[in-house]
Amino acid sequence: MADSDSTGDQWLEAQRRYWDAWMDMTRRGLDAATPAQKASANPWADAMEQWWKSVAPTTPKPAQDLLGQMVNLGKSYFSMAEGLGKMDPATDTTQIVENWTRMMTEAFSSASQGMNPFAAVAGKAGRQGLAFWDLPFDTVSRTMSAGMPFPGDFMKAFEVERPTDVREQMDRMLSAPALGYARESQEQHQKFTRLLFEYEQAMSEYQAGFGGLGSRSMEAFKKRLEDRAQEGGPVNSIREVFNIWVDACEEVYADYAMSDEYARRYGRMVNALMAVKHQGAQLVDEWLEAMNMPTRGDLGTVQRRLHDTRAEYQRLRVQSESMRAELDAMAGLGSEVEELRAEMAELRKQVKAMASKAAPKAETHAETKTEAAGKSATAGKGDDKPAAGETAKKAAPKRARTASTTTRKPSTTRRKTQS
Amino acid sequence: MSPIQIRPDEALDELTKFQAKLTHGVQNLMDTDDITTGVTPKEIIYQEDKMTLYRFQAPASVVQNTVPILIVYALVNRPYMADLQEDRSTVRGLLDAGMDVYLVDWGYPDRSDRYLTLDDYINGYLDRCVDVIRKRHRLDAINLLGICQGGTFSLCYAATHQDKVANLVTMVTPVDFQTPDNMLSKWVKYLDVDLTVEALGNIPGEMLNWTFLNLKPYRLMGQKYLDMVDVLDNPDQVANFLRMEKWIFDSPDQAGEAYRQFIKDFYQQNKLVEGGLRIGPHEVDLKNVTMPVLNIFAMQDHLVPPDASKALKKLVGTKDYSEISFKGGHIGIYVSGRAQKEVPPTIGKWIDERT
Repeated sequence: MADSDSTGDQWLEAQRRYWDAWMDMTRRGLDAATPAQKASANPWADAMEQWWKSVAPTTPKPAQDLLGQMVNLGKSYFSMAEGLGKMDPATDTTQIVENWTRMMTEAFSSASQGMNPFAAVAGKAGRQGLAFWDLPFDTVSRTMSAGMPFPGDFMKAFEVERPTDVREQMDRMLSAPALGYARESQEQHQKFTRLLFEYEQAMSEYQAGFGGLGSRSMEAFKKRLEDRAQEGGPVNSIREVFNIWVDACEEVYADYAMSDEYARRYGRMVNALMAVKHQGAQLVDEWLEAMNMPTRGDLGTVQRRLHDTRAEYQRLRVQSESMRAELDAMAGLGSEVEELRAEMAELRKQVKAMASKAAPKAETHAETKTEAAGKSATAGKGDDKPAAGETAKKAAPKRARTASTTTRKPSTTRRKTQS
Repeated sequence: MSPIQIRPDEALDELTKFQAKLTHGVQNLMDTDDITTGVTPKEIIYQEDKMTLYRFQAPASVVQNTVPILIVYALVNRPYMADLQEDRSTVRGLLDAGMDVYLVDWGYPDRSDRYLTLDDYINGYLDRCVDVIRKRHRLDAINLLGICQGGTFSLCYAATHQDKVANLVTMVTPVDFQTPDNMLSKWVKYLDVDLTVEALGNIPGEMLNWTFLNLKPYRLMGQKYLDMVDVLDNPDQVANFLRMEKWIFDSPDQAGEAYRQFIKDFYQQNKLVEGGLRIGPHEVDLKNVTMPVLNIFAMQDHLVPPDASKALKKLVGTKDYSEISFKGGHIGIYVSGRAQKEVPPTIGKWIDERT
């Protein structure tokens, strides 16, 4: 900080100059600002807001969300800077850190539209950050309002901070035995309301868990600033202060978020919400059933059966493909058998032909039997040799073809081995 | 002396520049066309329900490895993170390294998929994708590259279908889900998962986004957007930022039954480490992962802490185990400039040496 007493005035003068220039630019380019804004407490942030309002409609949708987020952050950033300008330089470090932390936390919670869990402890605005968790509650509660035995805004009477005795009284009322024709329905509604209370309680505890982090964040922020000042001199940029603050907050948040205490609070909050959702769905199902409409339970059954059928179909498809492959292989074997049969028939034919050729010779030999028995035997073997060789030659190509068919599968393995 | 000393003129200058960048940045944002992702040409090879198996087109000039690699991405978020843009694409890097790259895209489950189980995903969809690739290439086994939760799936698959996996690469893959620094694991410790699934059916992607953003709320919901203003005057960087934003919030719903088993068996009971994990008919024992394994993790990973991945070393049965630590985070390992230079070429080289 500058060490002059007139720092604040300088800062305001700078703001005024900037504001004039900004307004001039805005008037020329965007035709936006109104005189009332000149009296604003945060002219820079407001100017940005005004500028954004005039520009946003012309911004394409994909960019709009992102730019909106940046503008929100930018407004906070400007607010922080403005707060910085108003600080008394004579204030000690602790005070400065406190002021900064307070301003930044407020600005950040506003800029991040409450998404940050720290902001949750700030109250209503912080709850927006947990929109996801509230959304189902809100949806169910709106759906339920038409059929609840209580008015639609009944729950609004019960804030998180309500006194314990009121809660106890409500618990007792909701625990009263149901009576009469609509007994079961009444029980279901009582259960739903009890679960809502439990969820509110769990959410309240979850938010309260962040309560102690503010002071720890300040400590961490202060320490980081001092370390930074010792290592590299005082911080002289708004962005750097912002970054140091982010680091400090992340550090403190991570410590807490890693704790068993946080895990328990988080678990309780989520489980309580899920119990509400579950019970709400059951109540909705009852109405749908009464109106002869498909219920969530019905759809669940259909979905499960669809899933099982789909899984069975896939199993059978794979099985049938495997069987088809086996059949194809068997069809290959069939043709092989046919080939072998043809080969056998050919061989038989040849043997028969040889036998018929050999018969007259045998008769001649019989006639000359006594003359040259040993010679005739030798000559007979010699006649057979070429014939056998010829048969083998004819059969050879067929065998080769057969071999190539049956070794197709191992060739795949070979490929893998090569690779 | 105060640790904060900012002169008004310096502050004014800083804010003026900030405002100027924001003002000019609007024009860049208005000029930005629809954000495109998934840049590498690919063809559909096989489809089943909402799942699609793609094959990426390889550059003609590169000699391809004969054994293809199948990228198995997580159910959470979309797989185009691996092929985000021209100069930030793990897929492109793998193709350049000579890999024949396939990718399984799980799609966006809807209510009709509420009963899909891990068995359906791993022994069903994934196994059939592997079979399709094996058949196309006439191979007994192919290479697997599992990313994040997809890496966990790949480990389960490799442990139960050893004969179909030649080499296994895991990237930022959780194995030990209960390391002391695992924030997600702590958060689900007391969660009644059965009740959650009964109440919600499928788990909304919005719920997962909320969870992930809250791991670092100040950085991810605040600081990031202020930093963005700094690059608003650069159209290319604006497009990059928007592309990343698109991916971050593009979270499919999770099939209820698969989510139930994943949270209970992996996060709450840590069965991959403790034992007793069953996926459908198969018992998963990482000792049965006997093929070569390359495990890549990121040193600054806030979603999957390095120790959660490094646990794999002591659990797998393979004798050929390698580890690479990357200096970066869970996202940087796919999209940072250094990742492009280091990760895909290393994977390619490692696989080539084993093929």
